[in-house]
Amino acid sequence: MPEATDSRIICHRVPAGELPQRIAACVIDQERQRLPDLGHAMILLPVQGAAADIARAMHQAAGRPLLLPQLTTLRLWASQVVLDRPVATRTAREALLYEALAGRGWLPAADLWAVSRELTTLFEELTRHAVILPATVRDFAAQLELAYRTRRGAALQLEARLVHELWHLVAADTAALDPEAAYQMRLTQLLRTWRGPLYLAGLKDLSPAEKEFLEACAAQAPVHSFECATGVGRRGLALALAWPDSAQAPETLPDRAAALRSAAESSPLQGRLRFFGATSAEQEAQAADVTVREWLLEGRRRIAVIVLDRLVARRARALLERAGVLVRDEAGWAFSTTSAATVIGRWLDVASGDCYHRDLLDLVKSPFAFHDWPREQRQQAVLRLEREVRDAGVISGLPQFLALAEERGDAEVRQMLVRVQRGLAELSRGRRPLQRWMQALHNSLAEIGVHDGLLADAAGQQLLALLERLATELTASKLAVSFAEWRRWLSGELEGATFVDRRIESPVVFLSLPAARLRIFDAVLMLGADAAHLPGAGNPGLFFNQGVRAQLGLPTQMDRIADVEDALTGLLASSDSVMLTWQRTIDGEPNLLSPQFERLDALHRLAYEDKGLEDLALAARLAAAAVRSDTGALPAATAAPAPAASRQLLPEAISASAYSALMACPYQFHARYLLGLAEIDDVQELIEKADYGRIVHDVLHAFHKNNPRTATLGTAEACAKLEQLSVAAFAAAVSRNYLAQAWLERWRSLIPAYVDWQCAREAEGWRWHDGEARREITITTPSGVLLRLYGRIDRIDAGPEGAVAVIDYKTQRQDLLRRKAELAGEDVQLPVYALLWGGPVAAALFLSLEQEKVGAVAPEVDWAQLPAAVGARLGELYDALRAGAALPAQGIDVTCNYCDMRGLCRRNYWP
Amino acid sequence: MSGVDRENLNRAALDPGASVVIEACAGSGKTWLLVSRIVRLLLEGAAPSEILSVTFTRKAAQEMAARLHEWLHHIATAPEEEVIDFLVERSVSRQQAVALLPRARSLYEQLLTAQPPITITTFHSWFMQLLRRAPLDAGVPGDVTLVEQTAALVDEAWERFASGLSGDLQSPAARGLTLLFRECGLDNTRRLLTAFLRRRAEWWAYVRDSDRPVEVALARLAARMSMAPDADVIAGFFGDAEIRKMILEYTDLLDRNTPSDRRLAAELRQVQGAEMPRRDDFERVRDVLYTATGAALRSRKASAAQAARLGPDGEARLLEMHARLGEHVGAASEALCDQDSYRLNEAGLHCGVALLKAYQSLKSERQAIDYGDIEWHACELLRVSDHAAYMHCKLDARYRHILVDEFQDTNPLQWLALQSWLHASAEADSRPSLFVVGDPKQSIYRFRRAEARLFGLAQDYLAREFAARRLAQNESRRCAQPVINVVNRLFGAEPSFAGYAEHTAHHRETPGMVEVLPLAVAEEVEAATGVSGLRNPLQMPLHDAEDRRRDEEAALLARHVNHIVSHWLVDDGHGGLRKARHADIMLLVRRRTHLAVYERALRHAGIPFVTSRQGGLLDTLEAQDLIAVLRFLSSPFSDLDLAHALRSPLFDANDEDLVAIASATGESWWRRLCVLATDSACSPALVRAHELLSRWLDRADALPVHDQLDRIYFEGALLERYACAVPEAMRGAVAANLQAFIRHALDADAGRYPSLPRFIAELGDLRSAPAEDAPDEGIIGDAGNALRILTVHGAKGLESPVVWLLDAAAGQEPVRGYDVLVQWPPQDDRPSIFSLRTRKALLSAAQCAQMEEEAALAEREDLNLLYVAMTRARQALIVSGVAGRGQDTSWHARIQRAVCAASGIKSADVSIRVAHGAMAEGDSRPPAVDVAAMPAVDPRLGEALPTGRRISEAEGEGLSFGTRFHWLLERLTAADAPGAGALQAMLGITTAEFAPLWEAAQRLLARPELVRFLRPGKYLRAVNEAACVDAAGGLRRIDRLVEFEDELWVLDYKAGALPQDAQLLARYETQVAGYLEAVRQMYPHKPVRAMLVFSSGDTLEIATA
Ligand code: SF4
Repeated sequence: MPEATDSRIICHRVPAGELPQRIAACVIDQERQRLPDLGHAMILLPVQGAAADIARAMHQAAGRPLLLPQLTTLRLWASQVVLDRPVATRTAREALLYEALAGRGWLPAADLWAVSRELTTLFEELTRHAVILPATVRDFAAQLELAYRTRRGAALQLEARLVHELWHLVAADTAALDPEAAYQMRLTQLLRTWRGPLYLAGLKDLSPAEKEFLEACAAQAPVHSFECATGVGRRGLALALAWPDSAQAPETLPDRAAALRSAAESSPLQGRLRFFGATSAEQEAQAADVTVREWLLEGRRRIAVIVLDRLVARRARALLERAGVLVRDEAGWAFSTTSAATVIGRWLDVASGDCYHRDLLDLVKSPFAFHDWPREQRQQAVLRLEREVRDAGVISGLPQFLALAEERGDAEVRQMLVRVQRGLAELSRGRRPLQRWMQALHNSLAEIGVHDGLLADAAGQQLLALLERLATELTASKLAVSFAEWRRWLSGELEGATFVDRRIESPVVFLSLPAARLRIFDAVLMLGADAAHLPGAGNPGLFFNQGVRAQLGLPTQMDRIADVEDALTGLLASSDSVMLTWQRTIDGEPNLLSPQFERLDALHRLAYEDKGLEDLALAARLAAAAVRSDTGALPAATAAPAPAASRQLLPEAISASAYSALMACPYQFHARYLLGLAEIDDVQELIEKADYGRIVHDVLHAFHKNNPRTATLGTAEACAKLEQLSVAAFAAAVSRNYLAQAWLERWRSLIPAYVDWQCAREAEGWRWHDGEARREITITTPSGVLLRLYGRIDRIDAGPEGAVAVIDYKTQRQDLLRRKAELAGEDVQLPVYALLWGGPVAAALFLSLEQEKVGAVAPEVDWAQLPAAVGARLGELYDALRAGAALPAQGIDVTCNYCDMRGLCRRNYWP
Repeated sequence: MSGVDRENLNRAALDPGASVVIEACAGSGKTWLLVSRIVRLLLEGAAPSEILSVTFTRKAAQEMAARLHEWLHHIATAPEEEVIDFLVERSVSRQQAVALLPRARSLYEQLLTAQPPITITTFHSWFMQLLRRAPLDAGVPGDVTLVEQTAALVDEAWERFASGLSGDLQSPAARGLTLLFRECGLDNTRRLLTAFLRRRAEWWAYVRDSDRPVEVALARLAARMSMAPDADVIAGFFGDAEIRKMILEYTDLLDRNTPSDRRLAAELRQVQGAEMPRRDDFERVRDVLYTATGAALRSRKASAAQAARLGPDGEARLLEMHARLGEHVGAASEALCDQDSYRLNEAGLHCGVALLKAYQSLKSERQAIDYGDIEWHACELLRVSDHAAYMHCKLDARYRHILVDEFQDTNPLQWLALQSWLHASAEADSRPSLFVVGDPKQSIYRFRRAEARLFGLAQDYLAREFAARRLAQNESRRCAQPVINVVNRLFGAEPSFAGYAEHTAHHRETPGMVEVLPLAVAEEVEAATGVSGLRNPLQMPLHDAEDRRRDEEAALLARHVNHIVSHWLVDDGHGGLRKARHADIMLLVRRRTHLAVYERALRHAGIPFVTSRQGGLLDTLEAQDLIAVLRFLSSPFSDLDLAHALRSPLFDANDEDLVAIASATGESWWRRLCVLATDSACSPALVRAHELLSRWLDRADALPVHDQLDRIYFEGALLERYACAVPEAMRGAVAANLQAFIRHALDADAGRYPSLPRFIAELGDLRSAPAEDAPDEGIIGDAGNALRILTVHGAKGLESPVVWLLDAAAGQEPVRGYDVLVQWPPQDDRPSIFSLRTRKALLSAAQCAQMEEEAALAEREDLNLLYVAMTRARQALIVSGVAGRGQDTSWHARIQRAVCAASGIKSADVSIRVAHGAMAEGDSRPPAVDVAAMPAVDPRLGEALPTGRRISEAEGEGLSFGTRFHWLLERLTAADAPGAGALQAMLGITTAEFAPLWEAAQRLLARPELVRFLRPGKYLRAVNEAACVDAAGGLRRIDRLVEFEDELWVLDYKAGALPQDAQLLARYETQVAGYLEAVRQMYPHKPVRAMLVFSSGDTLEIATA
């Protein structure tokens, strides 16, 4: 505000909290002849949100019905003026700069969109602050050298050249007016039509053009300006003493405390301003929740929550909603955090990632997709698609998914996929102008029913409007970009734009600090009042530094801090219940309070016998003050389960692996074989060890079946045959994922060793007899029940004198297998195979196929006895289970570590 | 150290004018010294912005900043005498302190208001700050976000790398990968190549400035080999006439010797027959001379019998041939091994570079950067002197004083960057003062590339360039005398700690002790019996010997802890004693492997504990429970997830409930539950589960994950229910983990993908990610009275009255294969060696030598780790472990020896200890339980408090239909109305929104009876959106108020046509009547009329009351 004496503007300094009343009184007084119709006057506000409070104050001052003066901000007012020249949009400017930057190739590594955005902001600032760059780049560089206090550097030269050249490029863009320049022209036009009186309510940081405009207005009609006077009233004084103007004589803190003490014997802040230092984000959110609800219960109706920390605010909002307290969130959310924008992200992922299955499922599961279908139908189709994809293991590629749907004869799923296909066709690659990409996006969203979905959602509607606005703004831009460039640009736009849900009306309002200017609240809570957020470091920006900015005449960090302190003063002065919260510790690390409040607290402690402003009682109240939901009957302490076997669920046939599970942990057996639970398959992108084992089994089986004697083939021939079989067996997996090649290679490296082993075995007189043999026997339990036992024997060898050996291929190391075989009767696999063979076996062994080594591990047990004993035990166990024996959970660590049933037995919680 | 010594040291260390490098032992108060120095700098007139203080963890930086604030606040506000004492303690003379008092008192506010502020930060964030402001063309990615967790990116890069190769199977990388797969297998190949990725900064530095990096690296590798990589070693060996002759002679001799030698001779003869000897032939020869593993020459000795067989000459000849041939074979073997290693390096480097390329391009597409990039870019940025000079002026802060904490954790890149910075300062003649403090004995971050040897180097550099003084501080203000004694005994005798300076204890009188418990052994359990001696699993659980030993140690731990908290007194820090609490005990382990066993024992004994297990959150049962719930909500056919969720405390279904569902019919468990829940016999738990799950299913994916979880927590009464279900000892930890989980959802959610399936997939990825990437277990706000379990690494910087070192007999972590081998001489600006190592058998000779060096460094670091572990103890250090193999060099054995030496005890089979004073008190009162009374709160806070309401968009303020509509009408009725397109652009709305407005406007303009209201000139005045206040103080907004000579009109716009619905119409009428009333009160002398105007063109005058 011009302080110069030649200003015609009539200046009023009023206490911060009283500005609305004082301005109202002044208007009523000045315009009393025109009452009750004040439509000819105009009150200019710093933020539109302040209008309601001033209107209310006007009514109180007048005490009668009124037609109010117009209440608006300078920018909104100006925006009504229609210019006869087109105005460039910000987006178009950015595209222009992007093109220029890309063409010049100055910044090979930089994200040019980000640079363009920053440059656009910088240029707007330059125009706004009427900064004129020197005519030549050399002069500009010299100016920068001076400001940076250096004479060196190619980097500085580049910065100067880049800013200078592009600034002139933009200035030369005659097709459209610069937005900031347009604003200034609009102001000039307003001046021609406006003849009424103006009242300025706490306007700050006016640009030269705005000041000039207001002065000119003042020449035509009265202009009254209201500003907040600091240090008025006892509370105001406390704040003024806490944050003295740095220009003032620097008194010490104790001196100022003494001054405060002598002006106000008792603390003007105690009971009005409280701090709460939380030990975690959750506690901070709880404190906010409880405080707001306490205020509501006290009957306060205008509650502001100043949001400095978005994440905590979100958490606090969720907690408030638990109690049914809706929040009117004026601060809004970046579009990129809404589910509406996410669906677009999902869709573009599908488009750019060759329809990767996770992306595809993610898309179709979005409630926005295929919105034109009935909900139940859509959900069922999605479920089916997911199941089909999971069991068929399709990883990516739309044709593959379509083929799958075709194969399963699932018409609905197919239809879904066809729509996806049509949508994708819209987004086919190449370079296009941004606007055309936007059009393509629009069409594709319509194809997959997302457009309809968005229309039905509040954020979705705003998002669609935003997308269309962007497209419209870019009509003139001819810059053609690739899909990736466009996408990067789009996500930048979505990041920058916010969604404000206007459908909620509530006494509790979330808003930003600047938006709270001049507004009056019964109570104010400030979330995240730590040093990182208040005043925070600000964004240093790519260009210049604070010193250079100051030298050029642009606002600096100091100005920002002054603004923050000003806003805080206004807020603290106008509300008599203020709570501010911050996290005293974050993940156990200390976190500093905002320096502004540290100063205030220090001053207060000094002035009032070390009484801090901290609310020490709140923390203890939080737990008791939480809203309670119905808990149901509370659970008892967890204990190890041992359910009785259910006869009804008991399988009639037991496999070798089920028997193993029963041995390892009866509860695991219960969950797997009685309850029938198993982990659902994820789509497998790469074969795993189990698949590897299976393929190798197949290869060996095929090999031996066709070549009963390896030795007769000769080593080289045998190896070649095995190689050939292996390559074919792995082909499918390799084509799906190149990394499967690793398994193939691993196996190939074993082939010579395997052939050697096989030849040696043949030399001992053993012949391959059969393999992959599914066998089943029946055991009669002691109580006479017939139990079927089954399994698949990897391989059966016939030896000298009619001896038989059963072999189990393993892809584990020999030492591990040896340990497995240590305790007789514990590892039941080989004994069960021996049993399944049906006759006597001379030996049962594991054949370890692992890293260049092939070797048998033969447990030293009595093969004449053990299989029968193992079978008999199974019979006994089965009888016990039929009688309802308990199945205790009792795995040892190694078993439990690989057990899928950990969530069921609750082992980690056993006392 | 005497008080005088300390005073001298402080004086030197805190002298603001002088640069110093201090080696300070554990617990000596490094932070005190560093922050004191900052105070002195400020006192001396330094501006806050001139100070840069760098450390390694954010926590340390934050603590330093907090301490500085606290002290300056004290100086600003405490009574004069106290402040003077405070300054005197920091080596300011009393006289000076008095003189400086006013200045000192102003420092606090100076700090709070400084612009730019003081920089107390970590290396990484300082580097990040530099990069953000780097010269535009420095090739530094500008506007990027830091990814702290890179596991998912690495996965993606790996996929991209592999699928990229399938396009060109002949490329060096594709061929290399096949070779690696064959030699190493998938997992090891991946380990090797990700190791390359991790060490990429070293790689870049190694091949800096070269445009054919792989070739350069291979050439360097070849230069260190005894033979060219492509030389035909086999042909060379067999083609050597002398060797051939030797083989012949040797064979003959063998043939005349023992039967087994004759067999060897037969082997050799086979080789002689070969025309073109191949590698197997060579290996045959090798196996004749060398032991099976190829590691050593077989021993051959002279013997009488042998001499008899071969004759004395023959014997001598055999032994000579054996040795000489052995040498040749050895050399050839080594050459072959070198070649193998070379080929693997060739393959690995090609693949590594390709993988690296995929990884880097992925990040640049995402505008992301990781810690490794930050360091590299910062270092390279500053190495260019022009850039460094630019950075000096680009930053707003101009550092004149630089302080570095924990210098032993610095890595070569960081040191290079710092050096370049200093160099540029020197060039600009603004040499800062330096204060560097560290302790090479506490260097335990080699795996993060910290290089302890830099400390000595930096000492020299700083002494030379900055005239820095070297100081040493060996007085511990933390540990009690017995702990110090044992530390001195142990490390004083360690050869690798040469130059170790004896520590002294500052608090000599504090009671303390070191106790070494005997190693735990397992008791024999009786053999299992059942059918023919087989175990019956229903009656007898399986036991595992190693587990039982550890169980034994854990049980011992639990017993001792109970004893400690019921008997011990600890120092209260104010010269008095107080009863020990659980929170006074810290358990340390080297690795997390066996934590579960100890936790189980503590749980069993009811001892509350918290484990801050890095990356462990997702493995906890409570997190798994929530994941199961979410997975079910995302894929409702997943039966196991449903069963899991049902069994969790959230629903607390029992096994009968599960049996009931399993016995029912229906395609999925969920379908069955839906049916069961309608049955009156259904258990309440299932009914409740069904109700809640149905509700949550309805919302699945319509709400962001965090909000969905919040509903689950609240409606499911999750926290209360878990508190009932889990053992008391875990209650705090479980609650903290549940909070951490929802917090994780909130954080993840703020990123790009808030969808449920994506969130679940990400959790899956994170769970399999390395620990430093996965979310950590929750930290309990006020840890409460719980015992802490930490790894030694995690305990760095912490202390505790009682420290218990568990599993101390375990050996050092074995060196793992498949890694990058880097040698970076600390004084150089690039590594001297960079190679890949795979299996032990494939190491080249040079690599073997290097591995030995590495092993020595690793061993030294293992001892450093022990030093850190021991010096965490303020009063008592207890050591335990389990019996096993190779324990002579274990920590347990070392401490045991040191205790024996310190105490004169000989026997080592029982618990031994050294102590000073007594820790125990003898009284066994149970510790007082502190029950905080629940404060009274307004009971209404526990209940719902419905506040606010949802309104329709139309009702809400903003650019509603009416607002836009009359804006449009106004434009259209103005003299030079723009076209539709221009108007839409001005409104900034979509065609869908604009079209109806436009049509409606055209319709209304076509109505002759409306012209007088709309066209300027026909009326006196018109106000749009006229705000008025009515008599009751209500604020009303009238769409259009038109004034004529004789009357006023209130116009109210409505979308659509005149409604048929009488109720709706009545509502409209009431609304307009309100406007009428307000306007009439304002204009009592003029008739006021009102009209509803519909966008269809209909109008309706509202009859005057
Ligand atoms: S986790 Fe262990 S105890 Fe639980 S079911 Fe599985 S094996 Fe049994």
